[in-house]
Amino acid sequence: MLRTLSQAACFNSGRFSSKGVSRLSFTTAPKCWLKQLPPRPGPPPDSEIEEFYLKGSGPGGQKINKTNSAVQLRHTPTGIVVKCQSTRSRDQNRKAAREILAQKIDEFRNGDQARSAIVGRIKQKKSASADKKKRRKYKKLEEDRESGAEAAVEGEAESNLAQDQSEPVQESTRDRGADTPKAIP
Amino acid sequence: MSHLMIRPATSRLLRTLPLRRHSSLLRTNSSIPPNLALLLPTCKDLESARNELRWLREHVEKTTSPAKAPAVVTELCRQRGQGVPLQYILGTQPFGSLEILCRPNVLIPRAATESYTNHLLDLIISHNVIGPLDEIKESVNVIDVCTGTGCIPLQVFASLQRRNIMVDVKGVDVSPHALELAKDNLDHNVKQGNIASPREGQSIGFHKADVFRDDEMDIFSKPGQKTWHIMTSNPPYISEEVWSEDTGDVELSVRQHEPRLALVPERNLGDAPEGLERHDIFYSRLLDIAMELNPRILLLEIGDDAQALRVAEYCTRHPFCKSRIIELWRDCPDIKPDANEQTEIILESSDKDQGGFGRKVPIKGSGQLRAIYVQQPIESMDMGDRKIAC
Ligand SMILES: C[S@@+](CC[C@H](N)C(=O)[O-])C[C@H]1O[C@@H](n2cnc3c(N)ncnc32)[C@H](O)[C@@H]1O
Repeated sequence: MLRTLSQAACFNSGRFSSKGVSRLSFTTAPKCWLKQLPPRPGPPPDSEIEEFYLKGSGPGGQKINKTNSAVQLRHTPTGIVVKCQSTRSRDQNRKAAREILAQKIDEFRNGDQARSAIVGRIKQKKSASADKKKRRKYKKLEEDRESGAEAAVEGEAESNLAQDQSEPVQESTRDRGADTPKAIP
Repeated sequence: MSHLMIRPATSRLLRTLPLRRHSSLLRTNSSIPPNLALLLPTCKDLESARNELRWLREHVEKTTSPAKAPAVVTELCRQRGQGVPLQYILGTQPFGSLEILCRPNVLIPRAATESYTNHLLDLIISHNVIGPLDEIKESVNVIDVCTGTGCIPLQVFASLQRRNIMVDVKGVDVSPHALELAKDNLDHNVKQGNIASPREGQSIGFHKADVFRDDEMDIFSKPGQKTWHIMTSNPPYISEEVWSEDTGDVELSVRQHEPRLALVPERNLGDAPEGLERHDIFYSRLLDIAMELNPRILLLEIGDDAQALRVAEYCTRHPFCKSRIIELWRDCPDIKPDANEQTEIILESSDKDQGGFGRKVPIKGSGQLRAIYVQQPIESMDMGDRKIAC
């Protein structure tokens, strides 16, 4: 049985980096958009999650000092696999991986009604209107320059909805079943 | 030009690959960004080099002015590439819910240690392995011998404290560097908000003692002393030979930068008892100490499969383990074993009481054998007022 599943990696998610936090200060998303959103999907119960032992991240005892903290989870009912290595903390990666898994399951089950899909459409609309605004602004700038007026271009503001997207590197892969990461026998 | 030369096998591979992959394969070392290239000698693969570069950048962003940052990042990449442990460069290592300070002279906490500490806590909190916590009259008493940074007792303390459980935790080490750092780690994690300042009925402390000196260990086992619920230890367990030979068994970065005292049992500790090797010497001593302290649970980290079997077999003959449950735990004790991983083993016991039969020992989790767990059966625990029936 071959299933299509998505493998997501959550590096550069921005969620834990100082960059991600400073981004949030440029909040411009109107609150009404947030209200239309379905609630963030909760992670599935632990009984539906299988965690892999990653040989690479494999602890090697005192003799070796590895820094790999990757966590890989598989949702058994859907076969969706996610991997997270954004932070040095396995505890935090484990939590983040569960959140991403919840999002992937939501997408898998609810398609274009999934929270992330709705967020994506809102962002698209917003960036389209921002483009329009930008074009208008530059047109105005041109006119101002021609007219000799001074104008400053504001920094690009980012919606706080951006944090919803973990910018996962997505890859469609098949359920490899037997050749999932192996531990030393 | 040499990087453009393609060996026959590779060129055959290239021909069969889609065009997109060609270019990425042809771009050899020359196209790897310089900072990543600096990290590669230590990180070995690009994925971990990218992760480390990101963590180094995040660290520099927080600690250096933007103008100086790029030069500092490059300098740190150079140090890391030469084998300086990332945790000594960044100054910390996450451990469970804590941020553990790391300094040269004290061993850096390992991932496996974190895994079994968390698993132990899960057993205590959710599976009553020291009995129902609300029935423990005094506090939960924990001793960690060979404590290093204090990572194990600090995580145990943080986790039990969060659940409003009365707890008394002690960490013991012979190294003044370790003791100082362990105390700093308590302060640091209180400041970070990972640990609340100890409330009434909760305490944690670090003590200087040499495991091999009766006079220094006696204070923990005075008659009339409280019940010890948990004793843990991650003692030095690498043999002199493996340490000094260039077998590649011990990572170069470990050998050059981490303290030998934490890793290799010293030469003058005497001969190991029958069945054990010289570098297993801490285990026979720790079992003798366990005899005195009588903890409900004893958890010992071990180095590899061979050592695990030697020590587990020794345990079956040691009076401390008589009528106690023995388990072997792998690197990740809470991850399902894969199809090739044995889930139990029969240890040949030379103990006459066992009637010459082997003793069946369960093996939990996935990975290499990493710890030996010895537990008093729950039904035989004296809970103070009454024996609990199961
Ligand atoms: C492998 S390290 C473990 C550190 C820490 N528990 C951890 O897991 O990261 C072993 C520790 O044992 C200490 N040690 C070595 N010989 C000792 C002795 N004879 N008595 C007490 N501690 C000792 C070392 O100083 C070192 O901190």
